Amino acid sequence: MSVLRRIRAANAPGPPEHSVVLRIAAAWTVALGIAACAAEGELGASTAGVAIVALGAGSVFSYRRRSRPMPWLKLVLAVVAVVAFWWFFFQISKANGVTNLGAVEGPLAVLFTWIQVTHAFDVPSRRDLAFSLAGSVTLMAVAAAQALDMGFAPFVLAWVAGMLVGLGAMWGSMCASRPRAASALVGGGVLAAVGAGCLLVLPAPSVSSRLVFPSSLAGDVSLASPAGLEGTGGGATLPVRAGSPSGRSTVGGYLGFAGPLDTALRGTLGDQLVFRVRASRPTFWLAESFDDWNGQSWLETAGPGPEWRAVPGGSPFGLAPVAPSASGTEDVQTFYLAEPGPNLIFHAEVADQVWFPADRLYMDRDGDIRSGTSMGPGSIYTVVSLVETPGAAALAGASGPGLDPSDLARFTELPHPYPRVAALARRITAHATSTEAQVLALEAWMGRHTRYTTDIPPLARGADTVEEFLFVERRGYCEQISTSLAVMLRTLGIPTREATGYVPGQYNPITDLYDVEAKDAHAWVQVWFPGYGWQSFDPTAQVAAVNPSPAATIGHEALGALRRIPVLPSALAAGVLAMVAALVVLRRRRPATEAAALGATLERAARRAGLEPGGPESLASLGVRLDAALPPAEGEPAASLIAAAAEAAAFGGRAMSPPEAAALARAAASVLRRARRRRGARAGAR
Amino acid sequence: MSRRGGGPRPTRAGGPFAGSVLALSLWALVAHNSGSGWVQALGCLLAGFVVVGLFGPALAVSRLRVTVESNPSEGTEGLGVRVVLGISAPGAVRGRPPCGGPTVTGEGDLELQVVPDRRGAIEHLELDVSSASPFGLLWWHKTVRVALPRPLWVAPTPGAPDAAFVSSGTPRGGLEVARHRDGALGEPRGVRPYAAGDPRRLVHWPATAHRGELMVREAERPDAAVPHLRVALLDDGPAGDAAARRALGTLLELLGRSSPVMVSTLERDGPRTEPVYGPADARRRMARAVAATGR
Repeated sequence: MSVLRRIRAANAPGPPEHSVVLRIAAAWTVALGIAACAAEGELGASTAGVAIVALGAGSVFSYRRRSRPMPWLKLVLAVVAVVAFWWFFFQISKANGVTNLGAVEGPLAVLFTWIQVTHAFDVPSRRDLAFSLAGSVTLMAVAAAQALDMGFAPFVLAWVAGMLVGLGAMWGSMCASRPRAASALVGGGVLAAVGAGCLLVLPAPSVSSRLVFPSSLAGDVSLASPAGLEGTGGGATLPVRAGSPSGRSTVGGYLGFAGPLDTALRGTLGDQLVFRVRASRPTFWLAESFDDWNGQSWLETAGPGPEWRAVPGGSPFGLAPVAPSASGTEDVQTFYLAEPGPNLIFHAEVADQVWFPADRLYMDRDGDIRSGTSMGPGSIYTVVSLVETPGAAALAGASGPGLDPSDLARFTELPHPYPRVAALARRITAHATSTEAQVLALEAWMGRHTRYTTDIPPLARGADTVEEFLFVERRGYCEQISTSLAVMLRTLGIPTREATGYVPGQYNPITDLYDVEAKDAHAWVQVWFPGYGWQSFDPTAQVAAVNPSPAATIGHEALGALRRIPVLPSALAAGVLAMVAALVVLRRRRPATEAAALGATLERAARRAGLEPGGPESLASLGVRLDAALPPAEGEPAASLIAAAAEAAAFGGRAMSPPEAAALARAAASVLRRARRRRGARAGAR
Repeated sequence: MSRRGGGPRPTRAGGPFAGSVLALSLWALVAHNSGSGWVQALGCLLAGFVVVGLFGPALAVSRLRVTVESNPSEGTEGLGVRVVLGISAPGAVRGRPPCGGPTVTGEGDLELQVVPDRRGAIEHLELDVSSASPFGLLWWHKTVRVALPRPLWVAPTPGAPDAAFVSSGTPRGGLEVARHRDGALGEPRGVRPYAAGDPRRLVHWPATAHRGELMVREAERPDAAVPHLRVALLDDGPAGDAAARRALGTLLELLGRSSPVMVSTLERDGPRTEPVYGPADARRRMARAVAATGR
């Protein structure tokens, strides 16, 4: 076959597809893909609306013209497709190179929508509808790339249902039969099992460093004091409100993201989602660090130079190393703000690069980063951190360049000598031979002797947080616990600082994001180790060192869900359902009356004897034929008699007595055995 | 009743399997490096679709049961006959040699055309049963051997008559044509019930009217010499089929000249020497004829 003939054969219109269900399913899945793209911000609402309307119109047009395909229409659609591709390449050529997926995804969604909508006008055959079904996958994929929360799940479920119906209808059309609900259910069940299995087995996705990291700003307003700490003015539910004159800003009720960190009081934290983080590992999302402890609050002391310096260049901002550990492995985190946030750039460990779509970023000498603009919901930025994760042995033998004297003084300075605290710290760490061992010993002691609670009255003005916590209350919240550890370490001459930010949050294995809520706000201690820089220690809680696997997370969630199931009502409901199911099955299996049972037995006997019972044939006639084919021996019941009794009971209104019914059933079974013997004899003869 | 003729096997599976593996690998690569959990989750669901679509038909076809509900008792080699199949689930069925034919799809009762490619009795059909359930992405098939409710007797196609046999009766190639006198042929001696294959001209209409069923005349003795064709097939293979074709051609030629023709054949139940009155009867006799070695 020549190439031309092959091309012609490949493009020849297939036989018209008449299945309306398949057509509706194909249009449904494509429409869902378009709607999902719109929901994820890849398509405008009006564009999506027009596309869905055009898709419906095209589908109806195709259905009406399915038996009369128009070759010229294919040509027109091809031209339209070429124009769409040309538009797409024009759009991405304007963007920041093809490595910028964010710039490509929008035009890609428009291109796929355009192709699918135009294709909808020429889907005469099953093959064309299969293309529509497959094409909806690409739309869903584009939408999925932007989906950050479980709000995408309804789209996925509806799309899977559409695909199941569509593929089932396609098979039904192929074999000229009606699709079976049982097959669809089994197929759907296996599909769900395979999907869940793949999800459990596959490693969590990671961002390739060859791609440009996402960043965008929403609701950005240039701040009056660019390097000052401010928010955008959230509502009463927080998480942010404008910075007060003293520089205090609250997020979700947390008072830590401010100029000073007051440890005397802490509000009740809400459960608002603050942001989501896509990261290669869980860690503390650091916002600020404090060096100056005054007995009740942490402050950031002013240095000899300007406190905040503008980071030169643009996105990505390269940050000058602030610690000797500016090596280590890359750790990429992308933050997706769900609520208006303060102008703090959260990051893990030592930030090295920040992808942030603004003119300027500001950084202080301790590595804290602030933006010059506010950030609204939908803002995205990416931070590449350098993470040094030395083991216990490495930390125990840590050596290298230490802090310079001024910094050493800054991070070991105390407002007063704390003799009782120092004595306690020395006693606890008496047997510790390294800094790391000292820290761990103090952490262990605090774990044994203190208790976490936010339900305590504010500290009296002038009272020392550490003295109150360690020697009076021995209960408190993370700021007090971490401050106590920091002060005890400083009494031992170990450089420490207080850090505030968020704990990793809840890992969602579907979205592969950490959902960070306001209640995840936290304070912890950072200890200086020569050669390794600032290392975080959390005396309040332990944090896992690696990403939890999806399997472990889902298993844990499932176990938790199982524990919450009310066992007794569930068992009762399951029992009732099982009984109903059993009754239905029994009712279907058992003929309604003894007469019907006798008739069924005789029909089985006739089939076994090779006498095909005819549709309109009466039972009596069948009995006569059975007797002719299987003459009863002496003493054996005649099939015609059984049939007559059954007919009399069924149609003559003569009720059978139980003994009579049992005797007739035995007789019918005897006829059945006779037929079986005859069949065996026939088979033996052959 | 169907019987397994080997496990299910995919039909032209290279493309679908390779395409699926390639597509899913690319998807996994993109999903993993994009860092998007939803893309990966969607890929997992796609993997589910692919697994069910590619391997589900294997289960479906292994559970598929096919029976022959009815079939004609007679056919001719090379010509299609229609049998009614019962198929337990949606699928496609096609006859395999020696009874090949076009594919039919559906479920329940299906009419399948099979084309026997040789003469003789057919008691089983080899069927190619396939399914792409539940998604229609890939066909899997298996071969089953299905018993026919009754034997299908396949007549040969008429071969070229041998003029020499017809004119001279010289024995050659297993055929013998002779002038025959037999009490069963000749003057009418009575009537008997019609039997399938009796020529229409033997119908005795008054007796038929009297008895209420078709009756045909029986001859008492020949009024003239009746040709007698003795068919002795050498084997039940191709050579025997060729001889049967030639015998049928000769028989039809003889019938065209004078009827009836006495035919001697060997059948499964033994030798049979009976007059043949018409082409249908002739075909039937040649379908049932067997070689002596094949008894």
